[in-house]
Amino acid sequence: MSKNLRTANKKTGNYNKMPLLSIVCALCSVLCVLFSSPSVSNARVYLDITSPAQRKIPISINHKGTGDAATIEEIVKNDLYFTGIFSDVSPNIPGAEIRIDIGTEASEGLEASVTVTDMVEGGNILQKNYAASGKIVRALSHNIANDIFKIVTGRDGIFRTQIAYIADSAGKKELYMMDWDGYGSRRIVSSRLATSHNWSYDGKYIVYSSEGNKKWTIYLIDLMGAGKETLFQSEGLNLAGNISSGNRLTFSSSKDGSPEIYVMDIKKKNPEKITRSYGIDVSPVFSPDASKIAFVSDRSGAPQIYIMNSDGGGVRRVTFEGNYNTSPAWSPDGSRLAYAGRINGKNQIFVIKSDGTDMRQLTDTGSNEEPAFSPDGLLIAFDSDRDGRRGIYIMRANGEGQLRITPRELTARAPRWSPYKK
Amino acid sequence: MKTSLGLGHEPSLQRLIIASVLLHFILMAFLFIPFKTGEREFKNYYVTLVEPAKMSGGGGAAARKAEEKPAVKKEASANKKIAEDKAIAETKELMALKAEKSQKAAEAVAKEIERLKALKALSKGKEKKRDIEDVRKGIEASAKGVGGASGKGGHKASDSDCPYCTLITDKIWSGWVYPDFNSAGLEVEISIKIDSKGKVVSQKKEKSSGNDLFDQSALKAISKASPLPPPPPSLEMDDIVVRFHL
Amino acid sequence: MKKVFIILLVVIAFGCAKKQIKTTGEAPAVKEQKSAEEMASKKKEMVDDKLYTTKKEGDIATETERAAAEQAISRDVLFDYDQYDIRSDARPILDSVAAWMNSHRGMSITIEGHCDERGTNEYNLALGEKRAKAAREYLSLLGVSSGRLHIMTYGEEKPVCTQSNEECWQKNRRAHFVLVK
Repeated sequence: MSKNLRTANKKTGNYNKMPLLSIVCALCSVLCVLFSSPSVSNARVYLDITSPAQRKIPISINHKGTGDAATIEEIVKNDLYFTGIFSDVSPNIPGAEIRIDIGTEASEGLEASVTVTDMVEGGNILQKNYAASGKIVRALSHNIANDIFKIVTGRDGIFRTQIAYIADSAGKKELYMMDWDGYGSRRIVSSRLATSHNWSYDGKYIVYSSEGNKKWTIYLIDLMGAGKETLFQSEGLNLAGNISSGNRLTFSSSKDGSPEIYVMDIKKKNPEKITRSYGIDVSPVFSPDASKIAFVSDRSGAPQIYIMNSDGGGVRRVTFEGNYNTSPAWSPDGSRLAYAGRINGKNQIFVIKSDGTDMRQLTDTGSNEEPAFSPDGLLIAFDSDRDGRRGIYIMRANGEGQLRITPRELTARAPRWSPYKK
Repeated sequence: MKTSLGLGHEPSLQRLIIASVLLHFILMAFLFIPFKTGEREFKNYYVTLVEPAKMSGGGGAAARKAEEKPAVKKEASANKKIAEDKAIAETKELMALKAEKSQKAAEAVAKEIERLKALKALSKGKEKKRDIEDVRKGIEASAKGVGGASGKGGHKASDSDCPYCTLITDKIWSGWVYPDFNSAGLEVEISIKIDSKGKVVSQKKEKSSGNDLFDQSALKAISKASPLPPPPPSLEMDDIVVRFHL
Repeated sequence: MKKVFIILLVVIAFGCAKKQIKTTGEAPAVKEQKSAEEMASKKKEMVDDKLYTTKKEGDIATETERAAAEQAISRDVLFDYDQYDIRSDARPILDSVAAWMNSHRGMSITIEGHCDERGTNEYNLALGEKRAKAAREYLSLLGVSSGRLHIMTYGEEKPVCTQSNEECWQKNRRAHFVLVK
């Protein structure tokens, strides 16, 4: 019985197997072809490039038209080249990746047209006209530089920002401000002795400390002209730090004996003491995200830079090299602190990561103090006596390009860089 | 119904054999899948630089230099011989496996044999090898000169046995401009296809760095480098992936 | 009070006149000297008395009195670099200021702390305050109540000289005393 079944099965099986078998074979051979032959399939070559050949974008800037065009070109060139991001290519020499053309028309006020061309991919990436009713060439040129910077790098330019500082005139120490490149200096408030000043987070106010009638008072001044408001006054030494994005002021006061750090809402005016040490605690500054405060303390025996949470907890020391480190300033991304460190009897500008690593010295001539970052973190302003009278200097954040921006006959100190101009 | 392949109640020996052979086919097929999905090691391909004078500027001077220098780079040639033998051995393995495959596979094998013949022919010409070395070095030098800035270029082709890869890497690197924004760790991958004349016919961003300016700088570097030196005919590749990173 | 003053003046004038008459002979010269000394010491006593009586009234009315007061506290207490502790050379100065304050209990002074230019401005303001407070503490230990000793700091903002040498820097590292009006 089973035998019969088997043969029967065989027979039927044989007839039905053939087509199926051939299909499977074909399938398999196709699979084999697809997966096995190496030269027919995609052979990929991987190339690795780990650092750019050039760190500056080569650009050429040209002008045509009235005398204003030459002035605009000059200012735009100074702005763009100081950042260290661009290198200058003469107009008739090839190699520029970006070409900028500035033209002006004769008019009552000022009219300029700017074209930015991408020389690699081809085509205009910016074509814009500018007009001003008065002859305000510098502001207009800085606007143009900002637009060019933005279109090429994607980042906001700092060319309309301001620097506040203390000028010493006839023994009076008064609060002034000027353009980032040193032009257009004007007094903000008259005082006998002003110091410890800083911009509010939105750039609309300046907080500062002033001595009058043997008292130190912290004031808030409205740059729109609404006047001056007293934020804090007491016996002892009161020095303003800065105002956070949350509208809180941090300051140092010795009203209870030795100088300690306080925080206070500028509307509520309810100061809260957040340090308690025997020594001197001064120069507090909120980090850009308002979560931390960097400050100077000599609780270890000599002044060093510390960081704590904005409620006073988590105090940790940042500087361990040198025995006199003061004047901390946060980088806009909160990753680094610039400060003044004494070395060989003189103060120099240093930057250090906020975790205390990667310390770098940026100056080595004269005595340099009070560093302040530009809002894009690419530049640092500071004061220096290297040329005789103390004056305001600017440099790239890596120490290159150190340049005095206040006149030699002026004694000036303590630059503070404004936020972006909106 | 009992129309199956014999996997019924009592499978006969015949059916067993057929099933087994089929399974073997399928297994073999799957064995080759790993070779397809991963990076294919690109090595040991000799590059015939056809008419060095044609290549970017420096070629002519380098060729003249090659003639002036009859010194034989024995080490290099020895290494190449070893590598060459290795290549042949590996290919033989491949051939063995492929012997079981279908007709199309056999064709591929035939191609392989042809290529190896070409390689062998090349290896016999010691002078030609010398020329390649010198020309490559000459072009590297001129490419680096064009780049300017930091001579500490960090760039390399997948490995030094591919002089053409080094050539085009150098050329692309020399035009790469990116300012120091303190931004470490950025990485972008761009795949390019080049025609037989070396012209870049397509660029495609395979993996973005997340930073538009950085990606743009890489695409520009490639645009500026085109036309690249023409690839050697013996070099088989579909596309090139250039990885830019800080 | 004014009567006493006039009498004093007369006596002094008389004494001087006496000197003029007796010009011959050594003995008279010695005698002159002695009487001149006597006059000088008497004068001093008179002046001290005058001030004592002034103190009682609690105010310095005349310019001379004021000048004298300022003279008494005119010397600065000097400090070492980066330090605010009282040096031994400062003690005599502080002692005399204390003495003056103790004999003029109606008077108050401000102690100003100052620094040389080499530190940074904010920390120097704090250090200046420490110097002023150190001087105050010393004076209060000598019996001067701290309510009469006001503290002020100017850091490096009000130097008395601007040369960049140790001589000038030392002059600037000081606690300075000022009469409160």
